[in-house]
Amino acid sequence: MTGSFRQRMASLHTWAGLLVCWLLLLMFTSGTASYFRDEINLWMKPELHGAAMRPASATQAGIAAVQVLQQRAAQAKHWFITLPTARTPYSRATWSGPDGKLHTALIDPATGAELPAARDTHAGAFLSRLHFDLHYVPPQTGRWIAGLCAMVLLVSLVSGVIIHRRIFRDFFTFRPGKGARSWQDAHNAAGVFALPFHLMITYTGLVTLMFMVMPSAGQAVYKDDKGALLSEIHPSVGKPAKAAGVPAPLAPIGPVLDQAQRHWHGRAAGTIGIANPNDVNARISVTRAAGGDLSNKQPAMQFDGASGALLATKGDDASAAQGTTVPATKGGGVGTGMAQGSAVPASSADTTSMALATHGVLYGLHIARFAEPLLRWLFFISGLAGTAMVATGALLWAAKRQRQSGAGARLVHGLNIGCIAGLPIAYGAYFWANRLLPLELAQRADREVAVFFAAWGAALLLAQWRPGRAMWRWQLACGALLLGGLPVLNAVTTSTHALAVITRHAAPLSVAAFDMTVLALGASLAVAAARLGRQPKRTPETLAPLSAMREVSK
Amino acid sequence: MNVLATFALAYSGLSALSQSMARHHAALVAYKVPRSPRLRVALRLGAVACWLLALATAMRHAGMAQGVLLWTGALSVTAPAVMLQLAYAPRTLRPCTGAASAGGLLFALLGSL
Amino acid sequence: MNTMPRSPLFTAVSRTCAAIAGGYAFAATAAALLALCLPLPRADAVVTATLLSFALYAAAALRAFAAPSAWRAWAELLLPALAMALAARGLA
Repeated sequence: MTGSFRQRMASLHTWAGLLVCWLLLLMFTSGTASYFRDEINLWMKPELHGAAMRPASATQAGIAAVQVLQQRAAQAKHWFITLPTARTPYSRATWSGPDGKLHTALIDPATGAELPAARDTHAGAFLSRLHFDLHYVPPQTGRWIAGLCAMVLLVSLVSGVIIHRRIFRDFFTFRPGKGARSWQDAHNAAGVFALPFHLMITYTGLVTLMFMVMPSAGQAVYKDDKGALLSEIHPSVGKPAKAAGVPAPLAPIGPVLDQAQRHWHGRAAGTIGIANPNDVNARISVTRAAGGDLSNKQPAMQFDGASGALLATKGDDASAAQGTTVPATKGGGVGTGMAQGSAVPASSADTTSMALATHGVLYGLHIARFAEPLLRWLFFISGLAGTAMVATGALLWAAKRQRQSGAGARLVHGLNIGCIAGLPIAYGAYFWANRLLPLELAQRADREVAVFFAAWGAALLLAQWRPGRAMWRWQLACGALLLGGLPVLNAVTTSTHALAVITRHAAPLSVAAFDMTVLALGASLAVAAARLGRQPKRTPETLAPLSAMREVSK
Repeated sequence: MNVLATFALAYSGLSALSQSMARHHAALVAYKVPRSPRLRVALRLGAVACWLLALATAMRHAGMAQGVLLWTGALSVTAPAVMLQLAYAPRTLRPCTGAASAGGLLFALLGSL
Repeated sequence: MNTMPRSPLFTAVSRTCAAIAGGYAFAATAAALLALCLPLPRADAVVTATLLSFALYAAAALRAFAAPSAWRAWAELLLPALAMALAARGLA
């Protein structure tokens, strides 16, 4: 590895890229899909579509959820309620049963009735978990691998910018139909146009894993006191309380939620945690719903579960940052008819420091809960650009070594087909399985996931067996049929297909949007397959010797 | 309204920038590379003005933080449009830029009402 | 120096290991030292140092490939890492 600085950076970029590009394709596609995790969840549970059309206020939803929990789980030690949002229009109540297993009930926020059990599916949660836990490995291992890939991606991005000598002059350059040069232009375009996004998503991705992959700072300062580290970085609101064993009726949740909403200047609650329900030492923790603030840390309030009195607040300066002043220790609303503490102790972490606020914003940028529809679509498109950047990079490497027949080159060609054309097949198969697998199938959710990997595995194996132009065409066409055929499958298997949504309002609009999106993705794959079907033009450029290719990248 | 302005102005700024670059200008006018540095400077200043206005309309629509994100996203999405136009339909670039700048200014004005 | 020139593959592998392992050592020890030195409450110091560590890791990995030789790459990462680890041990 002698040679100039730029040549060494180019080597680094190439080898680092080759090391992780196929895993990165998995992470980019699953992460990009996760931007619409809630919408995918909804699409994959057609049984919930009707209920999803009737919105209700947070307070109404909270009351309904607590009622259901009183019926189903009066003896449980801890209840957790996720209130409905615009994108997930039903409530979710979770508790651990006497057998220690986690139980979930979905509740219609308007009628208060428990929703009929939707089909057993991991839905969008599988895709978002796939993004950082991977699969078939223990979660910790998956996250280490994901973290390593992110770190290598960061190094590739920076080295890529360094070696892109004519980054300004070549900003709009695209020369189609010229073999490796076209792939280079496409790779540059996908990388440079969305470069702010790529750098941001990579760095913030590392931030989400940072205490696991970089524990040295925490260890140096806190030594072995992990508890102190956790409680100072993620302070919980108020103090936990042990169950007294003395039964006491739970205070009505409605006034509690209203008080919280008033305290947060009209912004509703997002989640409710109730410890020791129906005990004299019950504690109700209410956390604000995600809104337009970038940080993923939301303010929270803790109430006494038996009396409904406010005990503590946390993170209120977040509201102050919105331009309003909030006295952090006041009890809030009068006329609630509850016993009010005269001086409410603010939790010690009530003023968020700059460092913790920055951490919250960086974390929040990655998860992007704040993103309203237009911004969310922009993130989605940028994620597709990231996928394209990695894919074109791998294709560029393969194009430069087209006529090499060594085992390494063959492996790369096969992996390219199996991942770039094979992953759409896997995603398509997953969604097809959701519609086609019998509802009473045992472990149905895991079976759907198995279909994803079986399809991907088949694509990878076939691609290794015959890595050529024909395999590209077959796999792209297969992906196009699977993804593009989903709206038709949806119409045949459910009553809430795209047309029904648009004309009869049978389901939220996002269900139709899913159909349209996969149709568009399928159409793109079909176009790609068709273009490959035509005989390649034997222009001198596509047959240029390797030395000329190197000239191109200088 | 503000959002339309953001996208239109992002596009026209990027397009103006591309036209100020020698190699792309040659593709557009199919004759000699323009010798006038004044035209280049004017186009680039115009591009910067479009982008600043696009940032302003984005912030007006979505606040400071989300406005910056929206603006960055608009640039990331309109840049490939300019690139593809240059590659496949360069003759359409000038009229589109004109329409986008005019439209962008109009939307920005309407958005401030 | 009249040593035999190493094969490019060996150098590439060496630099890659330096980037991954040496870079991590460099970034981790720097983060630990930074967290101990920053004049902030301890939670803030830990968070700040950890947030910065990835930028340091990227810089270290790039340096591993920019250094004039693979030996220099290892030296430039491991020696400072050792020094920072000792300093952190002393401060803790």
